[in-house]
Parts: sequence; structure tokens; C-alpha cells
Amino acid sequence: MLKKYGFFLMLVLFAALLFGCQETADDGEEKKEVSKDGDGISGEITVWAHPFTGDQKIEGPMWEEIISKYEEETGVKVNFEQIPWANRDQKVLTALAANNGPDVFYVIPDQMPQYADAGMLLELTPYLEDNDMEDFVETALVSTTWKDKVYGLPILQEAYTLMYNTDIVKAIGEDPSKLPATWDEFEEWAAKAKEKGYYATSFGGGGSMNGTLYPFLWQAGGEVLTENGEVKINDDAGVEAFEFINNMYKKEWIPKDSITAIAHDDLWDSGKMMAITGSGISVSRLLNQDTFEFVIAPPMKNKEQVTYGTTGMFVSPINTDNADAAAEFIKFMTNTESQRAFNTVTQYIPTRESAKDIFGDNEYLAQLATYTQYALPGVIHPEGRTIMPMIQAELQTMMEGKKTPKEAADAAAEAIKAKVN
Amino acid sequence: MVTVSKALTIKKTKPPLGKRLKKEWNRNAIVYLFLVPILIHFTIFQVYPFLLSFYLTFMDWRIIGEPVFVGLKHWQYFLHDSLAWKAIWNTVKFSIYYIVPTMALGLILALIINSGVRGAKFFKGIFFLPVVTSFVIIAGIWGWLFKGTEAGMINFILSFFGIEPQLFLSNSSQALAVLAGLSIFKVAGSTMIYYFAGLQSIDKQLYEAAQMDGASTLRIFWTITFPLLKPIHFYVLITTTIGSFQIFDSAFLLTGGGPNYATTTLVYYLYAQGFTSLNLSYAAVLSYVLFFIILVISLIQRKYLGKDSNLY
Amino acid sequence: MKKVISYIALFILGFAFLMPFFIMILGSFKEVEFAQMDPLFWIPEDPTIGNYLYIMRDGMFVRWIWNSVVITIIPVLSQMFLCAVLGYIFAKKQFVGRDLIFWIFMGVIMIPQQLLIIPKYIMFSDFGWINTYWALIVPEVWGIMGVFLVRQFLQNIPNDLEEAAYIDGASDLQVFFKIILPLSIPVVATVGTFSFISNWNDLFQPLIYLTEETMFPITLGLASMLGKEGNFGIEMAGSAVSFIPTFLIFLFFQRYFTEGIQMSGMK
Repeated sequence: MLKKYGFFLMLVLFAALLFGCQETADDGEEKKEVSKDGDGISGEITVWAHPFTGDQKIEGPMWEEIISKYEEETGVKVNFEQIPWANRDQKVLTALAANNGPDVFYVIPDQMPQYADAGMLLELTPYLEDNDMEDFVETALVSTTWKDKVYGLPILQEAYTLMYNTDIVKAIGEDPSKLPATWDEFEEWAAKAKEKGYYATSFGGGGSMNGTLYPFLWQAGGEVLTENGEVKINDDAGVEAFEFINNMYKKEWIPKDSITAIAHDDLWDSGKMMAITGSGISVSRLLNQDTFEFVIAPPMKNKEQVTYGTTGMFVSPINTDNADAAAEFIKFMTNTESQRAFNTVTQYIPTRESAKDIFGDNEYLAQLATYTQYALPGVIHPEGRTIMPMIQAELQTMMEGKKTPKEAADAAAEAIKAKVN
Repeated sequence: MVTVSKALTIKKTKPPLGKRLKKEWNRNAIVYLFLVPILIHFTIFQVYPFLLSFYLTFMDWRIIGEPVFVGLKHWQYFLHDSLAWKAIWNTVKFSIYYIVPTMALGLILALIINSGVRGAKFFKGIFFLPVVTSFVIIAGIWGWLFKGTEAGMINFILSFFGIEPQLFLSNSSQALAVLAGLSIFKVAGSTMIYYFAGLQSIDKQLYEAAQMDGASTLRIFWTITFPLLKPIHFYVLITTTIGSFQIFDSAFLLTGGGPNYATTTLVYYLYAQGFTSLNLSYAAVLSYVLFFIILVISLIQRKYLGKDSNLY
Repeated sequence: MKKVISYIALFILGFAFLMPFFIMILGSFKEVEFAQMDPLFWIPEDPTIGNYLYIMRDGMFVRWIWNSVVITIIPVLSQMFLCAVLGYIFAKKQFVGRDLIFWIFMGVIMIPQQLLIIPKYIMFSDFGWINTYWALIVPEVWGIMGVFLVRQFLQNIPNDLEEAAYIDGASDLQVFFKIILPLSIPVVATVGTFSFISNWNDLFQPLIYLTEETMFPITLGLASMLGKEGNFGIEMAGSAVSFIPTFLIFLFFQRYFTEGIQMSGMK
């Protein structure tokens, strides 16, 4: 009797009750004060950053120093939270969706145009009038700007370039002080290396296009996608880049598993590879291991001298309760002094020229620091992240031998066009 | 089992309401005490998010700001999205590689440790180790074993049989199978435990009787053990199926969905859509497609395997 | 001969299954920052306990373990009990809509959790549960998987037992506590084992719901120590540390498996 429809009724009733009471994502929570008195900023902000090094002993004090200086100067209280790198997209997006997110957080170039285009970020341009923007390396600002509006300020940069195993260079009869600067020179060296039984270089076909196709594409003078959505990956320069990679694979200058490999560190470490694409982190790792000598080459030039180098930046969400203080923090965090402190600890390259004097004896990093002017941060477009697997798929098919370079480039272009339009 | 309605018809005269309620309570108190609060709990914590996400599939919502109603737009997009269909197909393929071997391996391991072989119990712990070891570590080892160059361990072993080095994760036809192998290895220990618990519930007397009749071990297994494990088979089948259709971590860690989308499973695809491309509504659509597929398959499995004597 | 083969097979299998664990332990003693996905590399030249010391260096570690204990023990105990009750209800009780409700319950785990996290977060945010234990405990007090398992297990127990008890005038609560529950020890131990593993190892939910370091469970605490490039030694040591309780619990519950039901004498 009671059982007959009781359960159903209750189920429906509760569903209706709660469903009807659902609140939209625009619910505001007034926990932070906003002060707009002309005197300056006040209140509180929450800053989310990540542990950049594995060592809290040195990183902790660095953050404390920067933050307490900011607090002193502005009177704003900072709620600093360090969140793990793992799944940070989800954590940030979930919190923002519930209107419970941070006031300042860290993003990389892949994320910025997406978030900016979706209207999620606070525009910083009005706050930057009194900020020294000339001091920033030009390439560092590429990824912080979308459709002529500035949404973030860069704190760090990387520059990827080829690093050569000195022993192998000598073994093939070349001079480590005259490293290949153009594609032709590189191909000569690669052929010699192959002859002597070495791989020429690494290739992480399973990883980001930023480390594989894009640098060659840009060096050839090409572009993947313009800000306005024009697809240029399969123009002559693009096809040239595809051919270059195909050539490397066919001639076995790069290992057979390059199609999905993420890295070839083990081949490099055991002295079987002439060169490796690396950045500041690689330098630290190699110096740590101390197995053989290596030299760093400037980014290669085909038609352009260009390479990949990510930029890390701080942004603020549009639904922050304390925009003024947040913007001020971002500016403060990226000023010369803070950059010096930050990059000394994290071993990345500052984005301000004035802060680049931190490397002292570390010649390698100092050398890399001079290359960031050539370093582009990737494809800056909201679909930048989505098109990568498409291009990757075509590149992989080409390497598997199922398509010619031109076919692969064209197919990639088609896929991108479908996505972007 | 006497149901309430039957009890009522047996009696010729209806006893007073009070007495009927008391009997009802005596017989079924447990249902009222526990099922009802659980239903409430379920509605709040599961049904509500479920319905809210479903509601989202009809909206455009970019995290910040108000959702905008767009009707069936995302569903229609799904129908024409060849990559989504490829993802579904990959997921089905993965399940085929994964489900039966996992069940079989789990059963075999359970039989081994139940067999009374000396030291068998010790092995129970060993076989269970991958279940509690971090996924990242197991995935790392697997990736190393199946490295696509001559240096890879598996390739090294294959070379003794005169087989050329295989590309494995770099090969669009092999990658999915390799990932399936990884999952089988990680999960076999759990399946073993379920079967082991099931084996415990089988009456030892049945074995004794059969042995006295002179039946061989194999015969005993197929005619007694295997059929009596049916409820466990059903459990393992359903849970393995659900797990296999939701496979995500290994593709995320080892292949990035490649090569050429070969390892892009449905959950991988929906994650990419939702959190990388910020198309949350479309990710929600894909979630419901997945849900629907799993539900249909589970109900089919139930039809053929779930039946039992008094209840199904 | 047959025995030799089966022993060999046993050892090969055993070795295969032991290897990852072994490597993890070895790797945890390696003082190095940069990961290499090459297990041979993981054999340390200069074994050091530096990684373990680093993890336990400040009071946070103890705090993290405590948090893990809280968000695991409560759901585990609760699940063991409630899943037994509900498993019994779905296995032995008849009522309209029973199967429908059961499959509705099952339906929910067919949706990928990655998506549901957003509505759940919004809901918990409204409840004020963000950065508290509540969001991690309350939803976990029961789980359909445990219910399903108990239900399947109880199908092999004939109904005569209960019938006899009812005829003697017992109430169903008495039947449950005095008859069913003792018989269900192996399966309840199984539910406990898996519930413990799943809650203890949960990284995702704590990551989303918690913001303060003092609230982190051990999984999240360890993740928060990893730098941008990861830190191999620490990851291994962390995994080893996290592994110990789960394995111990497994061994603990396993004892109860073999106190299996004796069906004889019920005829």
C-alpha cells in the first residue's frame, strides 16, 4: 500500500524542489570589501599560484617576501594559496563557475586567449598607463594580449633551442663553436651523425606541437593561424616545414618512436643523440648529471630566426570582487624587483630586460636569456589548444607514411578551418 | 518469500489497520528506516547534479555569465561530429580488449590463491599490489616496457623470436591494445578479490560430494564453481564494463589521445572539450551520450546474465 | 610435473606483479629532481632517505595524514554498514519499483565524474562546504557499488534462513543483524577494502573542494609539493608513504575473508 508509489512520489518531489531552487552561477558572495575611494586600494585578494620548484624551503620565503612587500605598500591583505599543477584547469574553472574563484591566478599562453575570448578575464589595459611596458621583452607580451587588449602580465619566459653533445660534435668532425645556424647546415650535420650511428636530434611527436612542428614552421616564415582566423599552415612555408620533419623521420635522424614519444632524454643521456631540444630546465638537469659537455646553439634561421618559448603570466578573472587590488598585484608581481626574486629561485628567464642580470656565473642560462627575443609562445587563438591534436594527428599520419607532407598539411588546414569557422 | 499483498489475500477477514501496520513494520522496518533517507541523500547529491548537467546541454555557458538557452544546438552538433563517433568507436574497441581478459585473469588468480597451494595466500597480497600502487607509476612502467624502439623491453624479448621492433604506442593500431593491457594489469587484483569473496560463499560440501562421485577438477569447476559464481560474474561484468567505458587516465598520461586520435576515448574527448576548449555544454552532451550507451549495454547484460532464481 | 609448472607460473606472475612496487620503493631512495621514465634509472646509486625526510619535514605531514584518516574512516565505516543494509534490501525485499530504483542508483555512476564536479561544486559552495570535511564525507556515506556487491553476494544465500526466523516471530531488523550480517562478513570486508582504497587515494575531489593546505589529505599534500617539472624522488617516496596504509588495511580486511560462511547445517 504505502510502498506502491510512495518512492516515486518522493523522488519526484525532491527533484522538483531542488531543481526549482537551483541558483545560477551569478550568485555573489560578499566576503571581500571593495574600496573605490580615490585614496587607493584596500581590502583583500586571493592569489593562486603553483609550486614552481620542488623545493618549498627556498620558494616559500621568496613568495613571502614579495607578498609582504606588496601588503606593506598597498595595505591590501593577500590570501596566498598554492595549488598543485595537476588538474589546475579544472580547479580554476570550477571555482570561477561557482563565483568562488581567486582574484589573481597563473595561466600559460594556451589558456589566455580562450579565457579572454570567453569574456572571463579582467582587462588590464586601463591599469597599465603608469607601468613601464617598454622594459618587457616584446615576445613576452605576445601572449598577454588578445585583440589589442592586455589581459595579463608575464612573469617568466623560456626559450627552447638545440643543445649539442660536444663529444658527438667532435666525433663527426665538426667544431662545437660553429654550431648549425640554418636548416642546410643542420641537415649536413645530421647526415654525418647518422653515418656514425647517432641520432641527430630528439622529437616529441606525442607532445605539444610547440616543441615539434611550430618552431620549424615559423623558421620557414610561416604561421599556423592568424588572430582573425585565417589558416596558413599549408602555404609554401608550412609545407616546407612538414617536409623537413618528414625528411628527418625517413632518414632516421630522429628515432622511430618519435611519432608518439614525449621525450628522448634516455637516448640523449646515454650519448646516442647529437642534439636535443631543450630549455632552462634541461640545462639544470644536464649540469646536475654532469655526464658530458654540451653547448647551446642560437635558434636556427631559415627565413626567420625564431623558436618556441612559453610565457607564464598572471591574470585576473572578470568576476573578481577587488579588481583594483588584483591589477595592482599583477603589476607588482611582474616589476623588476619581484622578477629578479622569482626567477632567481625558479630558474626561468625574466620578461623584463632590467631583471635579466640575475644569472651571474651561469653562462648557459645567461645565453638562453638572450634568445627569448626570438621566442614565440605558440599559437595565440582561443582554438589554439583544440587545433593542436588535429595538426598532431596529420603529422603522425605523415610520419607513419600514410600521407605526403603536402597532403598532411592540407588535411591539417582543412581540419583547422572546420574548427575555427 | 511472502509478499505483503499475498499476506493480505490469505486472510479471510481484514484485521484492523493498526495491526496491519504493525505487521508491515515488523516485516519491513529496515526498508523504511534506511531506504527512505538514502533516497533523499541520493536525490540531493546525485540526482540534482545529474539533472543540472542535463539542463546545461541545452544552454550555452562559458563559465562566467548567464547561461543562454540554445535548444538542441549541441545535440545536433554531436550527430555530425565525426571525432565524437570515432571516440565512441575507440571506447568500444577498448572495452573489447579489456573486459573479458580482466574477468578471466581475475578469476584465474582467485582460483590460484584459493587452491590451497602452499604460499598461495601470500600471493594474494602480491597480485593486489598494482591496485594500490599509484597509477602514475604503473603507467610509467608500462610505457617503458612498451617503448617503441629496440631499447624497449618487450621489443627486446620479441627479438628473440625474430620479430621486428614494434611501435606500440606510436602505432595507431596497437596503441589502444597496449593501454588496455595496462588497465588489465592494474585492475586484475581487484577482480581477483571479488571472485575470491564469491568463492568463499560456495558450499564446500558440494565439492566434497562431487569429488566422492569421482569428478575431475576441471569438471567440478565448470559444473559447480563457474555457475555458482554467476552473481559475481554479473557484478564484475557490469563494473568492468562501466569502468572500461570511462577510461581516461592512461590516454591522458601516455599518448595524449594519439597517434592520430587512436586513443581518444569518449571521456578523453569530453574532457578536452570541457576543460581545454571550454565547451562545457558539449562536454555535458557527450557525458549523456556515454551514460546512455553504458546504460543500454548494462541492461542488455542484465537481460542475459542477471537472472537468477528468486530475484534477478 | 604439473605442480612444477604451476609453481613456475606462479612465480613469473608474482614477479610481474611485484615489479612496479619494487621499483617504486627503490626510486623513493633516489635523490634526484628530474624524472626519467626509465625504471633502470630508478635504481639509486646513492640511496638516501632524503626524500622521506623532506616529505615529513614539517608539521604539515602529520596534519595531512590526519585529514586523510578523517575523510576515509568515516565513509568506510558508514559504507560498510549502509551497503550491507541496502544490499540486503535490494537482494531480499520485494516492493514495487525496487529494480527500477536500483538501476537508477546504478545509472549515476555511468556519468563521468569529470563533468559532475561543476554542479556539485556550485551546490557545496552554496552549502558553505567548500574547504571543509563535509563535502568529502557526506556524499560518500554510501555507494552503489558496495550495495551492488552485497546484493550479488546475498543472492547465493537461500531464503529459507529468513523464512525460518520470520516464522519464529522475528522482526526484519533482527533477521538482518543476527543472521544476514554475520554471513556477510567476507563481502562487507571487501566493501571496506575498496572503499578505503578509493577514499584514501582520492586526489581529484579534495583538489577541487579544498583550498587551505591545513585541510589537505595526504594525496593532495604530496601533489602540492611537486614543482612544475615534477620531482621524481619525492613522487616515489610520496607514493610509497601513501601506499602503506592502503596495503595494511587490505591485509587487515583479508583476515575476515576466510571466516567464510559455513553453509552446512542449514539444510
